Amino acid sequence: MNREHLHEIWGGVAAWRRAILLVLLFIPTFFASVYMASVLPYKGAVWHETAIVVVFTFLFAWISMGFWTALVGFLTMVSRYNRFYIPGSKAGPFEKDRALPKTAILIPVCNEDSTRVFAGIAAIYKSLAQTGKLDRFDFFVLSDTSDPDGMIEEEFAWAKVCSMLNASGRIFYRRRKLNIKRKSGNISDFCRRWGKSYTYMVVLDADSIMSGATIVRMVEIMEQQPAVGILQTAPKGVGRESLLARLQQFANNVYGPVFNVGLHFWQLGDAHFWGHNAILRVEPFMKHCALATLPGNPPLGGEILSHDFVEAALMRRGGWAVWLAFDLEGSYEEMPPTLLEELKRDRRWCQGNMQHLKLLFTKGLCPVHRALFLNGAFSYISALLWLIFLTLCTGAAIYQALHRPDYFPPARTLFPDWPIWHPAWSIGLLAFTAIILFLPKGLAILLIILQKGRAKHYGGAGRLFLSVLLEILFSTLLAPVRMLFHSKFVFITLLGQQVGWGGQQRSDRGTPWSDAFRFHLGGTILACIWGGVMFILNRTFFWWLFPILTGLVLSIPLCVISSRTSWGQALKNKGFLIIPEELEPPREITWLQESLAELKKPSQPLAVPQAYGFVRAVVEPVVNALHVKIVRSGRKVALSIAQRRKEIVQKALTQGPASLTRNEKREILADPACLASLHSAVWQLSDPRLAMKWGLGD
Amino acid sequence: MSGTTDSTQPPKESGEENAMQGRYSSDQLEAAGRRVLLYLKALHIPVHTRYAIADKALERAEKSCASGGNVVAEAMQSLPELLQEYRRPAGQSAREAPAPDGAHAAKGVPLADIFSKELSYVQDMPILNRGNMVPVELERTGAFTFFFLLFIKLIFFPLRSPLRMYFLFFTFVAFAALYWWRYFNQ
Repeated sequence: MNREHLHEIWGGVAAWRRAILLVLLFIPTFFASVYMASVLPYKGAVWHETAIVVVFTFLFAWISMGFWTALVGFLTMVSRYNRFYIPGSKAGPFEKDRALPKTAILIPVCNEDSTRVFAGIAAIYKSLAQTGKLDRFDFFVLSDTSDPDGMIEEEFAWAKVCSMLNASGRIFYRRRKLNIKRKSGNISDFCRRWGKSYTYMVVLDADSIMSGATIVRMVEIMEQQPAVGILQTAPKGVGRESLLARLQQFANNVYGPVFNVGLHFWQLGDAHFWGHNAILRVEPFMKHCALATLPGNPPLGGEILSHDFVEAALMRRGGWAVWLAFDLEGSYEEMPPTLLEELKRDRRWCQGNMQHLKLLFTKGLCPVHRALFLNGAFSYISALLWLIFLTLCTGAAIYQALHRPDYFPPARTLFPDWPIWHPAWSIGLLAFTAIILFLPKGLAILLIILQKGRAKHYGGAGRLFLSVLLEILFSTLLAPVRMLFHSKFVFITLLGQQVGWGGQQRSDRGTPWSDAFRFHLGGTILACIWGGVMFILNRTFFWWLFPILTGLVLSIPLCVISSRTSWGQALKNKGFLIIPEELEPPREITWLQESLAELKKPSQPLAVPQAYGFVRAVVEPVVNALHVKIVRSGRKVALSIAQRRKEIVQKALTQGPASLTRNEKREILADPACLASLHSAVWQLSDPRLAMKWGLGD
Repeated sequence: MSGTTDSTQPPKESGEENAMQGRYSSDQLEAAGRRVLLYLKALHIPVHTRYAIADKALERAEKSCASGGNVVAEAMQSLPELLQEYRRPAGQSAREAPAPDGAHAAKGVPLADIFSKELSYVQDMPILNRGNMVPVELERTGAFTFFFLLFIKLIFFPLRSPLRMYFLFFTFVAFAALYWWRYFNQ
C-alpha cells in the first residue's frame, strides 16, 4: 500500500475541516433532538416517543449535512478564497510545446438509443478537433448491447458517424460477447486489452457531452498534478424538455455550484467519482481498482453495481488522490425524462449503495470514503427512516386520540402525569427544519443575484425567484412519492430481491396514464386511507400530514404531467426554469442537435424502419456486409448447433422475422455464414407475401 | 445465390410449381426485374447502370428458366458475376479480380468484394497491448474489530507527534495545578 502520496499538505487541513463538520453536525442535532423531545406530550419518556426522537435525530443530522455543505460552499464562493484549487485555475498554463499523452475516451453503452449516443460522440469529436489536439485522443464505444435490433443500429450509427466525420481509425467500436460485471467489467475489459497504450482515460455515459477544451484541460491538469488518480467534473443538466427533467436541470444548474464547492471544501483529495464525465489515470486504475465480487449472495453480495464509489475508494487506498473539479465548465449530462425512469434508475442505485455497507470495514480505506459509503446508503435509508418517523407519529396521534391519559400511574409520583402538547414549539421546530432545508436554495439564488449580470441568464431575477418557488413546490409534492418508492426499494433489497440493469429510456417520451396508474395507485390509496383515518381521529395531526398526503394523492397526475414536454416547453416559453445553456447554447449542444438530425435521416433505400435492426442486417446489403465485417469469421460450431441454426433460418424464411425469438436472432447474427445464407435466400423469395414480411415489397 | 443446393434455399411455393412445370409468367419476370432493381438500389448503384445490369440479369434468368425454374432466384443468382464485371477496373480480366472472402465467399454473394474498400476501416482496432487487472480481495475487519481499533487510535491520538508535546505539557500543567490546589488548600 503506497501511502507516500497521502502526506500532502491538504491532508491535515482536511482532517480539521471534517472535525469541524462533525462538531457542526453533532451540536445542532443534539439540541434539535432535545427540543423534539420537549415538544412531545410525554417528553420522550414512553417507548414510541423515544423511537420518534431517535429517528428524528438521524434525519436531522442527515439534512443538516446538506445545509452545512451549502453554507460553506456559499461562503467560499463569496469570499473567492479557496486554498486548494486543484482544477488548475490557479495552476500555470500548460507548456505549448509539450505533447499531451495519449488518452482514450470511453463510452460504455448497453441497450441505449444509438442515435443519441453517436450524435454525442460526433459533437465531442468536432469539439476536440477544434482544439487541434484530436490526434492525441481515441474514442472507444464499448458495447454490451444484447438486443439484436439495437446491436445493428449501433453498428450502422457508428459507421455513419465515421463516414460523416472521416473518423476511421479514431472512433472504435467493440461489442463484448459476454457481459461480465456489467459496466465496470466493460471498462476493465478495455483496460486489459488496450489500457497500457493510454496514459489516461475519460469515461463518459451514453448521454454525456463534454467540450474538447475541457477534455484537453483535464489532461493538462493530470499532467501537472502527478498525485491525482481521478479528476471528476461536475456535469450540468442540459437538453431536456419534459417538465420533470427541466425542473431537475434547473435545480442542478442553480443549486449545484454551491453544493459542489461545499463538497470540495470537505473532501479535497478524497472526493467522489460518479462514474462518468471524469478522467482517470490508467496505470493506477488497473493496479488498484479491479473490483472483486462481494461475499454473499445478491442483492447485497455478488457483483458490485455502483462501482464508481468503490473505484474511488480503492484509488485512494492505493495512494492516489480523487478531486472534484467543480469549476471546470463544458461538462454536461441529461436528466431522466420522467419520474418512472428516475425511480427505475434509483432502484439500481439503491441496491448498489446498500452493497457498499459491506465495504464499510474494508481494510485500508480512508475514513472519508467509509463515510461516503454510509452517506450513499443513507440517501435511501433516510427515506425509510422518514416513513418510519411518520408512521410512529401517526401511531402516537392515534394513541393520543383513542387512549385516555393515565394521570396517576401505579408508580408513586409527587405530581400527576400530565402529558402536555406544545403546538407552538412544534411549529418552531418545523420552521427551523424548513430553514435547514430551504436556506441553501436561498443562498444559491443570492449568489446568482450578487454576481452582476448573471441573473439574466436565468430569465431575470424575478423569473429566477418564481422558478425556484415552482421547483420547491414540485419537489415538495414529489418528495413523499420518492420516499415511498425508496423505502420500498430498501425494503425489498433487504429482503433479497435483486435488480437487473436494463437500458434506460433517455428520450423525452411521456409516461402514459396506464403506467402512472399501475405504479402510483397503491400510494394514492394508502394516502387516502391514511388521511381519512387521521381526519376522523385526530384532525390537528391531519393538517400536519396534509402536505405529504397531497403529494401522494396527486402522484398519478403529477407523474404524467411532469413527463410531458408540452408543459416543459410552455414554461420555457414563458421564461421559467431557464438555464444559461438554453439562452446561449454551447457549440457542443448545437453540434449534438445537428448530428442527431443527420443520423435520424432515413438513409436506407428499403422500406425497413430503422428500429428493425435484425431485419436490416438480413435484407440490406450494406448493413449485412458491415455486420459480417464486425463479427469477422464465425467459429466452427458443433453439428447440433449448425443444424439448429439451419432450422432457425428455415423458420425465418417460412414464417418471417417476427417468428424468431431474441435468442434466435442473436444466434443468426453471431454466425456470419448463417446470416449470409439467410440474406441470399430472402432476396430469392418469389412469394410476395413472404417477401413483404422482410420489407421487400414488390 | 450460389448454384449449390442446401437447406437454406427458399421454400418451394405454389407459384414455383407452375414455373417448374412450364415457362414462367410475365408477372414473375416483372417481379424478378423489380427485385433485382431493388437490390441494386440498396447497393447505391447509379440509376442508369442499375437498369443495364438488371437487363442482363433478366436475360440470363430467361435463358436459365426456359424450361422452368424460379426466375426471381435465377435473376438474383446471376448478379454476383454481373456486379464483379461492374466493379472490375477497366482492363482487368476476371482471373485478375480479387476473390471474395469470408462467409460470403462460400455462397458466392458479391458483398465482400464490393464493400471491401469502403469497409476496410471496420476491423481496424488499435493493436492489443494487454495488461493485468486482477481484483484484490477486499479484506474486511468486521465491525467490532474496526471500532475497537478506532477506539485505540483515538485514545493514543494525542500522543502522536506533534501533538504529543502539547498534550504532555498541558497534562503536566494540569497535574501541577491539581497538586498545588490540594497541597495549599488543605
